[in-house]
Amino acid sequence: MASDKDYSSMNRPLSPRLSIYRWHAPMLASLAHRASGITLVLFIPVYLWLLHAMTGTPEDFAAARAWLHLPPGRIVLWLVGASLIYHFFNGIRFLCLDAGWGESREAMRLTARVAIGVGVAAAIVLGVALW
Amino acid sequence: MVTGTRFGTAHNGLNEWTFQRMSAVLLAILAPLMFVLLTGVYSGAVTQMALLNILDCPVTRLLHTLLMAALLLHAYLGVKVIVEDYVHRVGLRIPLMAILMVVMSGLGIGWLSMIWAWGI
Repeated sequence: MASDKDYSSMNRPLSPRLSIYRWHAPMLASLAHRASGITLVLFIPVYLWLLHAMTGTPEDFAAARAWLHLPPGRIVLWLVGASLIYHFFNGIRFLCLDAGWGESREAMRLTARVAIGVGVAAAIVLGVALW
Repeated sequence: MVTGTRFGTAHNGLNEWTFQRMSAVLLAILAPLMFVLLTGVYSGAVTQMALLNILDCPVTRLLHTLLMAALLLHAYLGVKVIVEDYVHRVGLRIPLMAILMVVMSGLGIGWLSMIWAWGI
């Protein structure tokens, strides 16, 4: 644990205190929400490139489709699919929390575990499908 | 402002908070549709002609535009929160946010021009 000295104005821990709080399901769910969000943001330029190719000449479409079937394309589809499914379910969880549903400590832990479980299951199913 | 009461020290807390959630609801509907279409192209279930027929339709163009706006707004606000939490040096944080804003705007312009240029 951090000593009182660490909390001085010079060295104050800011926001998600990764090195201070004990790891628990709702914290992991929150961090995974951010990580999956970053993954989805990074996919935006890739999506625009794919959209441009898929709506171009038939050769462009075939090239885009061929790229999707190559290992990099499959990895991108897998990362984006798993991130999207996790971000979707945990996002609904966050909206419910904002609405005041499931705010108890037990409910927070249970729903966090469910969201993480759905995300892991989605990653496995997608991984098998794209293998 | 959304209501007469102002939240947060900068008095814009409720605005960004509300926009983040409003765009989330829109994205929860539209983003999965985009991914399903992409997996359709991957699997071969959606040919180029079928894809163009879907994307060319005026309703799709409108929904695609909504997806673009909601996604870039949601992404900007989300990355802003992460940057504010982990980048403590103001001299680094503000240029980072400026770059992010420029990149997001550029992506939005490119995306929008693509959606509305087809077949016109």
